Amino acid sequence: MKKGWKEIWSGHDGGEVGLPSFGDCERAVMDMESFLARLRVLAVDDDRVCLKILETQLRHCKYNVTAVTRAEAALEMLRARKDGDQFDLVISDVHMPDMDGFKLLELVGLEMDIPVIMLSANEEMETMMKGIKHGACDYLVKPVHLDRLKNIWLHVVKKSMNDPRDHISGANDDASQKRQSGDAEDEKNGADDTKKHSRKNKKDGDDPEEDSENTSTQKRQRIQWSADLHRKFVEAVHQIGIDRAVPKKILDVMGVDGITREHVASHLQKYRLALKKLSLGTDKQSNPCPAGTESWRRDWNYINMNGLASSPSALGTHRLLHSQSVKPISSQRSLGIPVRDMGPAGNGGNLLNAVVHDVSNVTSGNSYGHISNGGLPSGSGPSGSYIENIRNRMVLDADRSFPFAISGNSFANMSNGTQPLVPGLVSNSLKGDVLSMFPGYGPSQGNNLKINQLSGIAASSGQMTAIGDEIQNRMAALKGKSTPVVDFSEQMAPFNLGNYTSVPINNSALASAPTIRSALPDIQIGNLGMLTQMLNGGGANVNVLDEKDGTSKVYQHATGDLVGTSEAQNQMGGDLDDFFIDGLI
Amino acid sequence: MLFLQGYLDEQFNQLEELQDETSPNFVEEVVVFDKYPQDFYRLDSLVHTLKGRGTSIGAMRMKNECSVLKAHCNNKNLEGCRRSLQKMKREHATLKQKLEAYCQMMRQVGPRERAVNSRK
Repeated sequence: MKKGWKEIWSGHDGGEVGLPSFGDCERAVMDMESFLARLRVLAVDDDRVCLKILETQLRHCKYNVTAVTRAEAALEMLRARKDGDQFDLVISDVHMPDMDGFKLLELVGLEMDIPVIMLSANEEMETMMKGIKHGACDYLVKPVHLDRLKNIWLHVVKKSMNDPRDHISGANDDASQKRQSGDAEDEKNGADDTKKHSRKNKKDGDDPEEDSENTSTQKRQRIQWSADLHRKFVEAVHQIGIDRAVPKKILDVMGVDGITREHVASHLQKYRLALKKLSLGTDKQSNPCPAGTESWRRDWNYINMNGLASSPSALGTHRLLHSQSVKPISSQRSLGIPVRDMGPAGNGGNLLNAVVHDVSNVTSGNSYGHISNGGLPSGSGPSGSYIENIRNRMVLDADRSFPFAISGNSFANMSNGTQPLVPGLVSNSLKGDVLSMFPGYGPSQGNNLKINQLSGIAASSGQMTAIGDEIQNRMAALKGKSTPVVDFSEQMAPFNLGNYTSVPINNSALASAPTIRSALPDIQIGNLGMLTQMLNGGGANVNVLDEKDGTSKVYQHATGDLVGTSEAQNQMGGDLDDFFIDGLI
Repeated sequence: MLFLQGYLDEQFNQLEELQDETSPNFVEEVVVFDKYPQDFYRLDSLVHTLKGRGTSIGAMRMKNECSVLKAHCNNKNLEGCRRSLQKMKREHATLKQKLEAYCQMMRQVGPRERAVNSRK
């Protein structure tokens, strides 16, 4: 196992907690150097000149530097690295063409939770404060003096100090080291909650007593809600019933050490808020409020962290995209449905993860967000309610081999990741691909996987809200056409196989944006329905976007089986074919 | 330029490269501005980058001029911008000259001397 700086650090037996012994000067200097050499710094700056200078300076300070000019590349690198190998610190310029420095900052904070230092020639107080507000642990003004860089390691240590795992006292030393080495495996099999989010959680199951003692004496430690923890939370909430869920009960049901009632309470509040926002399903396609964006994003991550169970990657827990416009669904429960077993998140996980972040960039309008395995940049924009539905029901057992070659202007090249992900994912070819997924009913597992990825991709498309909205608009337009509607309904009927009961719900979300001509219709609502159903593996409610009549049907889905009525859907009118994509960029 | 010297000694080759890069870029940027005189926002962006570069390599005068130019941009002062841009060009030319001279000198001094210098 690669030894990060932490191992070395904790190996020092200082008299105090975590302090190296500087009794021996020479040894101290050498230790410092080797310590620094193990500090992996990622430098990001679009200006090659500045980047080179920064890199040079950092090297001069003996750091282990990696320099990239593009924020997207930086994100890819960060996502690709495992826990033990992950960067310790990111230094990023504020002013970058492909992605705003603050966005990168937020993403890194959300996904990897490693310290980020902002860098800029801009010394306006406003900008500096903005940086700190977005979570930067420091803001350096160019020209950056060498001395400033010499001490950036302090930020790394400071950050890790809050991590109980890294509490370096004599007793805990072995424990923490063992945990670190065990981390890799633990995260793989997702066995141990504690260990899994020990890296993230400030409060660990480690010292629950300490926690309660400390709560009053020291600043309450922020708990990091890992995917697993959140899943437990959501499960507990649903078990109790969202209306009757009180922190104390939730805490009891969750049965996790190391979190207090207060933690649960605040998390519950955020969860509720997020649900509310979800149900408001606004058409806000632009940044609703700058200050709110961040919390909004986090809210969504709360909601969407459903069942992001054993995700081994350090990518954090944001698997699902969040959407800003989700219309009231009959069952809000769907949002909180614990999705089972993400399974080997692997690429798929990364995909979704990246997807989340793509959408998390909803308000920025920037186009970024590579999906790591596919490296698929996606346009950002509000997500559609439809997609939201799908997303929420994603069975996150992502399949590594994403088979789709979704051509057209959308998912195009999931694997190459070279083309911008356009909301108009759903192209004709997509339809074909999707249908091919259910060759009469293939192993639902496989289909689930693919669908998941599909929806993941779909979800990732930045303008999903737009799509959703526009779908609705189109749907509304379509309403005029009697024939297609009829056809559709007829065809939808067979779709209601066995366990399904259809409960039409007015999903106005669909009807907002007029411009989307997407291939979604190509997928043919039936497919979409299937998608959602599949995604819904766990037997929860499925919201099928019934495009033809602009309503969303909720299918009570008892099993996770795929309903393969692809033939029926195939026949769906091609009128919708040219629907979307138009306005999609 | 003391700040510059700190690492220039060790990395002067690389810095030379950088200089070569900056020059053409700068020219581009000026041209761009001439073409689209009304695009203040874009200019502001470019100038910001340039300012960053300037400050990073210790070109204080250049940086100051950039600040002035930025201010003009903010005020949409086309004339002011033009003047500033001219000044900047001159500053840049001077800077380039000086750096080139410096690099040449370093080269002449030879590797041994350089080693001595870097130890400082």
